[in-house]
Amino acid sequence: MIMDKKELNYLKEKFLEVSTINYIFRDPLDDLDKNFGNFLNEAKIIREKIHQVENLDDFKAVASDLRTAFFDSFHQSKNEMENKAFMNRSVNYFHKAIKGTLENGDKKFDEWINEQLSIYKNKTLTNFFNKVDTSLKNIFGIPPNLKQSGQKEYLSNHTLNYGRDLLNKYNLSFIDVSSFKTNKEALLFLEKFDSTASETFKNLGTTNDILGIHRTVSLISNGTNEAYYSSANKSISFDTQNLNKR
Amino acid sequence: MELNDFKNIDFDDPKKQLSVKVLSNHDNFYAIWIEKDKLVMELHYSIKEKQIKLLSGELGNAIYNLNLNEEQKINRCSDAINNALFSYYNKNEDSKITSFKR
Repeated sequence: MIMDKKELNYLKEKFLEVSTINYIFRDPLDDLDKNFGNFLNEAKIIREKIHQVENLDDFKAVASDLRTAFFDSFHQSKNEMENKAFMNRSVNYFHKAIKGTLENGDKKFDEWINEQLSIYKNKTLTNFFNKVDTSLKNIFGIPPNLKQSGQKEYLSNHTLNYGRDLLNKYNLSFIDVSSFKTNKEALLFLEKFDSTASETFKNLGTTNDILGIHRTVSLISNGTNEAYYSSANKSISFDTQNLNKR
Repeated sequence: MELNDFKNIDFDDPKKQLSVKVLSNHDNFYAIWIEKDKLVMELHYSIKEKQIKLLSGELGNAIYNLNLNEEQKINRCSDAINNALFSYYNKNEDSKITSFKR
């Protein structure tokens, strides 16, 4: 398929969005996380390579490396595959890291590419991109290229340190903040989570580490759509959906 | 203006061929919504001046031409945009938690 540069850049941007990986781990990584730590490092390198590709075939080849890197990491850990916690954690990584774009192989990935190209075509037909660029410039005074990038920030040391304090405080294995676009958003939520959880456990008359160790503590949705906790791998994940509503 | 004070929602639903982008800060609200190859709405509302500066697109024009005051029009637009973003807001609703009980 012949593709112009803007179309390819749109595809790259969308891929970088869905493959953003921002985890806060215990430091140092525990044994269970070491293979996935390697995968995450490799994923960062692959994401950088995505910027360099100049045609669709190369894009698909580099994107597929992400899947290969995941399975290589998984394969190296096969002795641990019977361990339920390991399995649960690997599924979580896989899901979060690749978000379904690669999970069912090339066919699924081709479908994802076609969907993105269809959206791109509609946006071009309706002059969507130009309208947004003009509004950014005229209404908000922001150069369009600053907000158009699909790149999200890597976590600052301050966010990482605060996140690691929370891992210890609540006896968690990791925190996924992949969906936050900025450190400010991630920090805001970490602070909110910390204050809410502290108050809840105080009211329950328990210690904070019960979140990570006590399987009988159930975490029930009240519909406010803020965080989700997996007792299987002791992880907490956030997203920005609710923040955007405020 | 600090970039972090700036809200930016990007939502694409490939199945519906729907895209919505919302940009806002304390003073201005901007949204653009397309579905298939049609511009459904483009809206610029000045929060500071409480005034609609731009309202176009198929639905945007329809709302603009209604016999409503400015506040009622902006409420209609806001409801419509929220409906378009329904999937965005409700993604993973079932699996999310905020309150803890024994």
